Amino acid sequence: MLTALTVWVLGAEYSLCFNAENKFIVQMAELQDRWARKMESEHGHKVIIMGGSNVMFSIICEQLVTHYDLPAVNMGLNAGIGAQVIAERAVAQAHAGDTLVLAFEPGLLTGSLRPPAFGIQFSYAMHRPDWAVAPTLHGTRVPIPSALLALRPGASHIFTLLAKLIAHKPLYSYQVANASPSGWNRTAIRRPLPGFPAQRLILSDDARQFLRSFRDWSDQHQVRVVYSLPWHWTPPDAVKDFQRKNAEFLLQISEYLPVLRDPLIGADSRIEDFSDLVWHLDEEGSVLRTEELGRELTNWQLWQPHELRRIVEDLSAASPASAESGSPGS
Amino acid sequence: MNFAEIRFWELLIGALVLILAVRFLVWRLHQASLEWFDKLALLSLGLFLLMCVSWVTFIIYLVVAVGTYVGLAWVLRHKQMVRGRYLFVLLTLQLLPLFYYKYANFVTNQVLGLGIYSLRGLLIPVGISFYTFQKVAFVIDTLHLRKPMPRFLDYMNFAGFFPQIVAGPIERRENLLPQMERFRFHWSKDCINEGAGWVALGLFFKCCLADNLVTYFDASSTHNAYLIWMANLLFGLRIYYDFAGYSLIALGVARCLGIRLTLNFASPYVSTSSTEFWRRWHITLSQWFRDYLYIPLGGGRTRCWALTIAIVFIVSGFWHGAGWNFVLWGALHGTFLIGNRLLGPKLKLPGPAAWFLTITGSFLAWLAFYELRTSMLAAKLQALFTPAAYSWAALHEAFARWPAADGFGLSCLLAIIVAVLMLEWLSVRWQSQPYSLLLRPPVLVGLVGLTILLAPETNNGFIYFAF
Repeated sequence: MLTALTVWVLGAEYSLCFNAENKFIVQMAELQDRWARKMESEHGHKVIIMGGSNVMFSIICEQLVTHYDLPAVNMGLNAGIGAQVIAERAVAQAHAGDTLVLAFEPGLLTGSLRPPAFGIQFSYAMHRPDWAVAPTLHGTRVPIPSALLALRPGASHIFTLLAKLIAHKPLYSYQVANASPSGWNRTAIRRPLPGFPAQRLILSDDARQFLRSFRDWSDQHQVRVVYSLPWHWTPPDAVKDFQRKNAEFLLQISEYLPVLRDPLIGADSRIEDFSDLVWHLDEEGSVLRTEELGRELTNWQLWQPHELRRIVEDLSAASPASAESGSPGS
Repeated sequence: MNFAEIRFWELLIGALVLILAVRFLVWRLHQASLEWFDKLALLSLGLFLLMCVSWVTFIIYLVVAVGTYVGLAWVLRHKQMVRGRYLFVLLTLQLLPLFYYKYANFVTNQVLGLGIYSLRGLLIPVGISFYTFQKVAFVIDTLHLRKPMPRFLDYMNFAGFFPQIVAGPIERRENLLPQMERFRFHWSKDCINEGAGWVALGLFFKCCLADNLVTYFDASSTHNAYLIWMANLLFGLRIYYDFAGYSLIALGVARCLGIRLTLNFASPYVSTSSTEFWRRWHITLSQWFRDYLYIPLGGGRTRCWALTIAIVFIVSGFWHGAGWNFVLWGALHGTFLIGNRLLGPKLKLPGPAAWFLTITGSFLAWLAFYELRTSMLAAKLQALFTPAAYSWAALHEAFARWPAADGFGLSCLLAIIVAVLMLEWLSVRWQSQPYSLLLRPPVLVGLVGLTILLAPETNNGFIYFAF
């Protein structure tokens, strides 16, 4: 028992204080929080853009402030934290009059919303275990014993750490030093971008309940909410198919939240816009994405469900071979 | 009753605290009732934990358990001469729920092609194969050995002892019933120390080894022999550490309560023959088939011994699951055993070669256990026996399957498993005591540390719950 307790304490201490990935995310979150306080004090309200690393590596809030006078706050973290913890953190910072832009990677809304271990570790590192164990929105209340057990590093992390140490590789790829004061980050790393995901995007039941509770919460707290689909690297020959799948996905989202009218429908075929991952834009790509987001938010340009439905139909007709039967929400 | 879930331990500890509090009152107020109270409390604890699994599981268990007791009492009321006839009726009734939930869909739709689709969605109640076999053995032993009917409370504790009810070991009357008749909530330091060791080892097997192996298991390749062998190896290791882990935790929990269950696994992967493998793998099931099927069919002393072995192993495969793949799995093991008996004494292979042959055979058979789709199973078996599937290109493809980080992780995990298997081998060969070296306090401390550090956040259900 004593051994178990000692190893657990050491493991938890490592996860919360020494794990390079967690340290990076916590420092980025603190940076973002400082910017949020600045926006709040200077403008009296703010536009919170939340999501996984696609937000951190794509949205330049300084540009939104100077070009569009939008007091934007980048609350992009890491999709590995899970939708629940990302949303809980943003909701905790939002007040009446604010705007919340949900820029989740679709994968965050197609499965269970139960916070993964990394999300639980982040909650504890931020001294907000309630994000995992007692969420404000609809979510999974992770029992406290399970949450405490999730503070252990786990085999996957330890083996990866060992491999990095043996190969003398840096313990984490990204650095806080590369971030702008608002929390937009960039990386010099370039990797070959992997193959294209082919599966349809169907909202999970968990995500539907979450979106419903998110909408109800925003109504009660007079916070404006909207969904913005992140840009994803898409080979030119797959753009139509990907846009159709994204339009299907947005159609499902539109049952709960308004959806920003992104003309690319999430499919960016310019590989030079991306850095190391399919969701991570480089500087040029970030400027373009931020500009587009600023325009959509300022003019409150939204997709209407019938427009999305028509896009799905048109694109299905254009590429019937790859279109599966039926479209969700239609 | 998933021992790898925190919820189980919360419920168990909570219930035990309550029981001990009430027991203290009973001890103060009416000491003469303590024996009765202890047995009733153990029964209530078992039923409560089973109810927490699911209502359906609980009710079906209750029907089988009470039905067996009432049925046996009824058979015993008749004269010795006619008991055989009534025994047949009782055994049929006992096996009926098992047949309905586990085999009705397979037999009616896949074998007979009757198209009764309502049977397709049937969920198999947890543990039904295990407790049904335990009760069948109880009935046969009571009648055959002319044992007296136990008291109802003792019988219910024997039939529903919570550590072993859902996945064994399948206990026999002569081992477990007398312990239940003597049962008291005694807290012996020696028992708890011994039990805690088994629980820690079981949790290490399940949470550290089996649950991490799941991450790397990939059964998608149908043409690359190396990848198929890798899947077989990972599945074979996973199912062993998963099921042995469960059995050891059951053994440990029971030991803490002062009950000694049968060791269900004895390091089967150190075996150097098929016969030895089946003496070490799922021991209580092997003994059940030996005593209630193999020996009644004539055993090994008849001219048809090979046929008897084949029947026993095909039935054993069918016990594991309703599907042709399980029948093939049983048939493969039957064939290995027959081959072992025919050729073993003539070949007299050196130890390492015999071990390699035995282990290769059992890992080959695992393919038929996890691959439920007949066409895929056939394609994979064909690949394994096609020389071209072992080309350099296939080897290169197999290595490319895992990115560097995953490959390193898998290598680390396999290194731990090799070390554990070495300790198992040393325990068996040097000390003739399975797992004895792993149960040494310094080793256990290391295993507990590894479990806490390496166990994944989410555990997977025990594979054998499906049976």
